[in-house]
Amino acid sequence: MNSLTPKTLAEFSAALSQATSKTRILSGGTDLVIQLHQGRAEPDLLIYPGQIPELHKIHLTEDALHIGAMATMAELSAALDPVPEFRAIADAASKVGSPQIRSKATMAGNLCNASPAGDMLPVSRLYDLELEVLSGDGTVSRLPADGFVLGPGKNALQSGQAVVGLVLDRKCWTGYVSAFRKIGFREYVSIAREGMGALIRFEPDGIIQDARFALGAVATSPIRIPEAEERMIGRKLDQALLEEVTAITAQTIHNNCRPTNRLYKTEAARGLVADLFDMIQERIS
Amino acid sequence: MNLSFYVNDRPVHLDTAPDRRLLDILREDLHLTGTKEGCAEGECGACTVLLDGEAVHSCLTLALHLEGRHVTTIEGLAASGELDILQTAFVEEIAIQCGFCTTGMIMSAKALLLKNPDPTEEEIRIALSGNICRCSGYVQIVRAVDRAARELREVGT
Repeated sequence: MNSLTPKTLAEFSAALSQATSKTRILSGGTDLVIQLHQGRAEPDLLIYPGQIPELHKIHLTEDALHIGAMATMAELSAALDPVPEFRAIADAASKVGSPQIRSKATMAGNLCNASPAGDMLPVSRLYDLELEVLSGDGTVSRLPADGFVLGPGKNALQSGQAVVGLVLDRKCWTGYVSAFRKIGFREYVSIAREGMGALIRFEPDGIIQDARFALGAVATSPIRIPEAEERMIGRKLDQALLEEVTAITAQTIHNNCRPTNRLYKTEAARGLVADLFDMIQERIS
Repeated sequence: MNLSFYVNDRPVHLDTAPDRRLLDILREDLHLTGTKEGCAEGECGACTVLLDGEAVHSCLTLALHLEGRHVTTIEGLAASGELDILQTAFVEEIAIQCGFCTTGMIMSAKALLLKNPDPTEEEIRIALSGNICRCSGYVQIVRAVDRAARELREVGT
């Protein structure tokens, strides 16, 4: 098998110009290496961009957050845990797989792998995240997270393109609190049966000004819950609101998930929404 | 591909396939058989080694990941011929039964103690959450890591 290990973005772009539809980009390798070893992926060319220093950086300013495509889940979790508006990303990254997985796996890789159970998919939909995409001709373009995941294992990249970074506006989320919660078979090292993120802005008196919710591991790609988001506005985070949001979330899950999982996943919405409200409550008090 | 990296602080130069797994390089090319292959899909943790001080699965790490990097295996902990405090603690606390998971457990514990010399029980359990033991139970293992951390702190003071 041929391989290329570019050391600069220009070399990465030149490597991408040689790519075909069978070429794969190696990031942390926590999904791709299994596919290679089991013969489920047989690339003609493997490109590893891990020797490009800027791809490892997480750059947080007052205006924006830029996550390099090679930044690991462990690095992401440590960098964003103290940042209220982006803490949902830290929550999700801190529960991906095991410590060994989090030492190598990346958020960009998780989005590109496009597993319906990928924990970073729903958090990417909470924000208006954009993926920075490098092409073989040297151009860098942006794709919105909304619409990036096309189905299990399928994303919107063309052959000869690779994600080099994730870009999030920060100014528009200043003052928001966020959280992500997932349900699996056990607390650690579990694949999500269902995950939900919240991004909420409160007035000083506790009245909700704006809210976003995103569900993962329910449909083939993450889904927002507009009806629940609208219901939150002008209300306080109390029991009555919890019950209303739970009912809307359960209905959304019922409408979107496969019949085989419907009963469990619809019921599980109760615990999921309650846990998420508890996390938000704890973070604003 | 020509690959140069370090294993247990010694430089290694190999001509190898880019998609060769670190696990196979260690066991088959370098004859370091302390690292074990369990599930081969990043679930069991038996193949855990340190890559630049972080615990990783050697079954999910390719030659392409390794250029210029430092790998530490269980053999590297006792390179001087004397067991590491963690290894001694596993023996003293009888934290080993069949022993297949032990090297991975110890390498995950090593990664923890390198970063956090005074871990709580919960932090130890989280650090070992990616390592599965199917015979001993985890009580003695957690106790051994706690003992090693304590002894390391005493040595350090």
